[in-house]
Amino acid sequence: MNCLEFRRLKLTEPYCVSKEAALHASNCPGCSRFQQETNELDDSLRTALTVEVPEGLAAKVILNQSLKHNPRRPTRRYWLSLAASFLIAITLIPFLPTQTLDAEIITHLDHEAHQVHGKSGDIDNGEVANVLLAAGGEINDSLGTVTYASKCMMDDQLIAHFVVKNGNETYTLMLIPEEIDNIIPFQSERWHGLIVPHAAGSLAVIASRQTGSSVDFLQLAERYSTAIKRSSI
Amino acid sequence: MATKENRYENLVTAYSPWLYRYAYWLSGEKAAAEDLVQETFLRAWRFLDSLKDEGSAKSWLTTILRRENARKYERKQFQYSDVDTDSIAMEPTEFDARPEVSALRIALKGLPGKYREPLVLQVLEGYSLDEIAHMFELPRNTVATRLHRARQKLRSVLQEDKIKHQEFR
Repeated sequence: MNCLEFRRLKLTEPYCVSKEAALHASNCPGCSRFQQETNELDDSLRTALTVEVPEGLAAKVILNQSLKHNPRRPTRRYWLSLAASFLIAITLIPFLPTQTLDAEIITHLDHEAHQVHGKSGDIDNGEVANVLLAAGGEINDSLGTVTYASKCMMDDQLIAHFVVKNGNETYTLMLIPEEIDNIIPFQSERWHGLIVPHAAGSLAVIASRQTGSSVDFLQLAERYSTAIKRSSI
Repeated sequence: MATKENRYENLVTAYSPWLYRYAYWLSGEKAAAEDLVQETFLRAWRFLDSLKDEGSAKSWLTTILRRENARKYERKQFQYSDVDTDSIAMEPTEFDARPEVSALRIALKGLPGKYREPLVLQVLEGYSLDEIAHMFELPRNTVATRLHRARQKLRSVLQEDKIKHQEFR
């Protein structure tokens, strides 16, 4: 093996250990140094290529799959239900909301974003309770630091809208009267989040996409679902 | 016998971290990488019955991811001139921030995809030249040339970086 062959081997398969290559390196100081430099390069490369994997990625993938491939076999009953739903929908179309719940939330956030960013300072528990009560909720456990609390109208429903801090991150919570059957993940250019069923309504946890993609929305939804309960009044 | 759901969950748990890292270096963005992983596994679910040998799952998933990337992100892939070096310099909050590692990371993002991809597979996951050639459906010599050029380019970046640091001292 000559120097050219040795160096070509080290640049294409640095982990390949052959007797010929080892013998050449032991007899050629230049190639021995080249080998050491290549090994150092690959060590640095391994470090440079290592990126942090978002927490809960596998759980999110599995959740996404289960939501998208919910097994439903079309039966006679299914088609009858579908036909009935169609008739009801035709009758009610003029009265139905024009957007889905997740689209409503995104529209609301985009509309209100300047207010959220403009508000600062901690909101006391009394004000939080007051806002929650208007949307049919009560504090069951602390929400942590609340920096924004507002009673808002969203598609003719009164909702409680909060911005809370969790560690270094900021999240938006919405207590919504509309009931849902399944968890709804959603995202737009600026926001991503999760809507979960919550007693006689739903709860949305939303983060800015600048927060990054590693938000564990399921864990957050569980935490805030426990912290807020439906009012017994 | 494992159900389809069990098989799927095992695959996701075992391979999603690796696929995310690979997707990150293909797409150059965290959000795009996560989307790619989601799309890859959604497609994998649809075709899971075609995976007969669990031992080849990793390369099967890698191939799906590469095709998803080619379909969705090829036109958006990083070009050297597009690299915002300031934003890359911001990223090391979660990485090793040594100067030579930062320089390498920038150089990696600036490498054309055809050089970067085989290098990532070889360095991060220890794929052999033959395995990469098989996965890319390319002649072995072509992959060898790409790896050779990729390392040459990175060696020169590191050497330039060392010279720069010596000049500053």
